[in-house]
Amino acid sequence: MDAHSTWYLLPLAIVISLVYSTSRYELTSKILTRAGRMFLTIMIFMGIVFVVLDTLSFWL
Amino acid sequence: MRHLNLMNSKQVDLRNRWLAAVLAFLLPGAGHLYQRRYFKSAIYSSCILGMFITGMAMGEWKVVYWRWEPGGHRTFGYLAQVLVGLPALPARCQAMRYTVPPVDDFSADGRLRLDWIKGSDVDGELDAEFTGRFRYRPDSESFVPEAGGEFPVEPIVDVTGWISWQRMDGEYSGSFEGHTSDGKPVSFTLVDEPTITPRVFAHGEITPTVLRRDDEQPTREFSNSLRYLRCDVSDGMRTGEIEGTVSRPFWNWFQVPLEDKALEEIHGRLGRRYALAEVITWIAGLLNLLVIWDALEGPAYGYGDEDESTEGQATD
Repeated sequence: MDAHSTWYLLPLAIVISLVYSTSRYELTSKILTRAGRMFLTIMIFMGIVFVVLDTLSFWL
Repeated sequence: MRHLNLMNSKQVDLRNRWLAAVLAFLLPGAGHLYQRRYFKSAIYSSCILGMFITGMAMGEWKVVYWRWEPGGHRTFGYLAQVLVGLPALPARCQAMRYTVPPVDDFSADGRLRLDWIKGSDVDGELDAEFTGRFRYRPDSESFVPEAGGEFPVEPIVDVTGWISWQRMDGEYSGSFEGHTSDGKPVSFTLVDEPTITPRVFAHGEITPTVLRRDDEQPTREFSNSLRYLRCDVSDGMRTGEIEGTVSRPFWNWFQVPLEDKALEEIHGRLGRRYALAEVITWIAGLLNLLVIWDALEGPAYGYGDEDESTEGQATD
């Protein structure tokens, strides 16, 4: 996939975090806090995966 | 589950939860709107519908359709898309309206021939605006072979106008009234069965194949909102042919099953963007499962004012 398609990850991660957290909690503040935390988790995880794959593909 | 029921029954008024679940399925956010959970309703509808519509737009509105052929093309992804409810349900209706063109017209190698789609399912009646080209057939009476000349090549002229026909007892009769690009009025009667792409069709080829100019690039064009049309016509003295397009209404192409040829064209042009569009609509549908469950059973952790240890146990 071309480099620009990677940016679709951002809105996707935001939507998934928001909808998931909204389905788990009822309080608005709690929903937003949890969604923010989940978004960060996804981004960090994907960042690690990106670095690992990029490193492995360096010798290809 | 014990924890789940404890939280919801106490703190969240789910009203008629089954009705809410059905509403949540039909339209993301509608179930929560009914339950007066307005913030959640806004989040669900904007996120899921926004995501679903974005996916459809990225795939040029041809990502959502239902096709289920035994041993052939099956849209498993639709099983996820349909969870969005009403925005995806027309595909089921369109699959019933859509009729596969006759199999007899397949070419020997099993692939779709160029004219297979173009020349099938001719309407019994049509009344539509036409945009395209016209050319007279060579005048055989004025041609004298002994003179050693060649058939004169008639020029191709652009025409627009109104075409109408009807079929009675298997015979087509109709007319074309319009004008050429330089404003000259033209009037023809149809002399043969027209060739036209099917009425209910998602993505058909509209490339002019008969009336092509010498300097034209051989690029193939596809369209959802236009139908290819070709027909032999006569002005009373000479015969000719017209080739062009008529419009196809929104409900005759939206979420209609795609042919393999159309899929090839879309994949070739959009590339991975089309695959990404599909995935986005699948995710939107799957996320709505959470929404339906939330409308039915309420949130797992109530209002969030319970102590963290209880929450941790529930997570385990």
